[in-house]
Amino acid sequence: MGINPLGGRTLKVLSKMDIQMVHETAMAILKDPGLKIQHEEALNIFKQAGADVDFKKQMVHIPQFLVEKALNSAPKFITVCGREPEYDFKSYKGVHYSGGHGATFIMDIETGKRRPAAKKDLENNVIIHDALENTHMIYPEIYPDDVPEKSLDRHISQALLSNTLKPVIATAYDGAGAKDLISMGIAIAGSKEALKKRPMFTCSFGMISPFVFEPARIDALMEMCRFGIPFQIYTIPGAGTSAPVTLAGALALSVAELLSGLVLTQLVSPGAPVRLMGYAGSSDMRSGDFTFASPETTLMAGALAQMLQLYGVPNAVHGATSRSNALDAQVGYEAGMFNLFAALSGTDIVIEATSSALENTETSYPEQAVIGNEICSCINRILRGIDVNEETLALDVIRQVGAGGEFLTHPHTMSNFKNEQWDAQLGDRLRREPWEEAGSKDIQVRAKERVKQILATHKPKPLKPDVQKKIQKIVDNADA
Amino acid sequence: MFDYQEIGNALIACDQIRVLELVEAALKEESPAIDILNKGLIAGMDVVGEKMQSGEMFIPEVLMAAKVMTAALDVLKPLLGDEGTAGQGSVVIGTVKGDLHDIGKNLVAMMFKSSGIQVFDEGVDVSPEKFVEKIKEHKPDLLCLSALLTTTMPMLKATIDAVVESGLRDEVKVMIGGAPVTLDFANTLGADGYAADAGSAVKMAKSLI
Repeated sequence: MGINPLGGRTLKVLSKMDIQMVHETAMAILKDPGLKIQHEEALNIFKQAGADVDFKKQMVHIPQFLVEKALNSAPKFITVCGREPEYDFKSYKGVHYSGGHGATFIMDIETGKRRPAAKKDLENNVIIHDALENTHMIYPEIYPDDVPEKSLDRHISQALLSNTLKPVIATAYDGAGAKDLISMGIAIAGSKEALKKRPMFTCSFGMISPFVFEPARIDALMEMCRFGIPFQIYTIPGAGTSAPVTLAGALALSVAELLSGLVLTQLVSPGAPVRLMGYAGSSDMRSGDFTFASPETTLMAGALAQMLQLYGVPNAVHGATSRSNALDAQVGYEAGMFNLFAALSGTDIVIEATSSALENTETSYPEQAVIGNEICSCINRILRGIDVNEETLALDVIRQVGAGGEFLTHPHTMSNFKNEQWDAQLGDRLRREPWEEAGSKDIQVRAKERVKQILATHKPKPLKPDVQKKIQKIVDNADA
Repeated sequence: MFDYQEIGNALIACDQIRVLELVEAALKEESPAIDILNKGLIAGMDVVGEKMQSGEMFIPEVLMAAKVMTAALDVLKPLLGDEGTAGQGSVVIGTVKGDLHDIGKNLVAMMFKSSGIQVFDEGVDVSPEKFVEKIKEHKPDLLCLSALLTTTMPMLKATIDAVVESGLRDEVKVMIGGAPVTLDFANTLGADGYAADAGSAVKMAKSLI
């Protein structure tokens, strides 16, 4: 499923010396200033393992040997599982893509108007991604507005787990949420053992930059790691606000944060499967907002992929989701450039690659998911590179055709063109007149048609009725 | 009755061995050669033309189908007599003077041949005078002119003007094509037909003949 970019010649943002300096700085940061952890049990775990802990200030200073130990005990590879095994993928087998996260509004494709997103919109979003061949893992791309806030995580997980056979990122905001999520997983898998063997979701956990672990999220982390559900650690430092404005400093800070999360998981449960997700970028110096699509943000994706590959941990980095407040050319060039850059880094998963969320992830434009899918399809062709061998060099063919001839009718063309050439599914390759005859449809119109077609025809295999009931009961209990 | 559609389907799949087997089998059952041609092969090529226009089939596949068609025609020709070639019409085709591009023009010629149209291909860099001469010689139903360059597009007009001056314009329909040519341009020149690609060229030619 995934493609190793250009036969392994991945893009390198940092030199060997750069990597060494960033690494050493990250190690120095972990010792001083260290991290703030407002969680008694976690502080004790760090203390017992040999970290320097200040219980009064709730600060942990992590020595380098703990990082090395964690890197040794953490699995080097993980299999990311779907509800059905045909959607499983391995973390070290080339580049994969996921959607994005967190839109609270939706641009309604029927009315063309922006409104708060509902749970139904999240379900539709999951169905769209289930149909897109380049979404390999599905994120909670929409946070619905029409469900109780206290049980938001259960509703999100229910919508994701019920509407796709692909691997998902499920959500648990605290220990109780994590227990409920595991119960949902057991209901789907059939038993505890079956869930441990093939967990169909990953749980994701974000630190607050710089260096703050939220206590409720640590409870969720402990539940997941002890059970054996794959856990994803991420941080989103913004250069200039929650990290130094200089990219090198923001990078070192980001690496330190990710490694501290890794250490915590391995102290809680040595050998727990973990993925580190690099998601650092620039902050806009006019608004202070994190910029999800900028040249600096994409450079950070490349650099983080390089660092995380060096540490030999399953990893993901961000692609792009645009600040643009309309589905326009800016979205196109940002998604094209930045997703390609991230994919060329050779990371396991490019996050946001097929995301429908624009306006800095605030609003979901369903059409953008299918456009993102087309962009990834195009990127995959670039990643495959140029195949150079006797057959592809075609010296015999060139001699047979000779000067003034043509290659169009040569059998070599017939037998090779489909493998050599990428074919647009959504992009326009018609000449002017046939395009006009077909209704003069631009990419927005064609993408909208594709979304409507998917929603009308694509029906992912539902969960069994008794499993649906069990999950509904978990959600109802959380609502009560 | 023989299932002619099966022949057409094998042709669309560019499966030469299968097409020849089926033609052979149809002849064994004493199916008329003209039915094999019209109901099987030509019906199949019509679908190929449509699939090319809609983008479902690629040029190398269309060419392969045309080659298979030609191979099947070779088998049928001796059995068809006049019946087979008459009625499908004839075409003089060439690239206009000053233009050496012929891949598109050859493609159209090949598609014509495979749909049973008799083709007189005059090659590239053909002067208006030579086109007039060839019309006199072959008395075709249709004159097809190709230009790939925007700089040789005016030569399409010059060629049509020469046909008008020679007094032959009423005896032959004129169709033009080539990457920069548009329907509007064809209309201003007073051409009878225009096609954007080889698939639609066959359709247009058949409607004109």
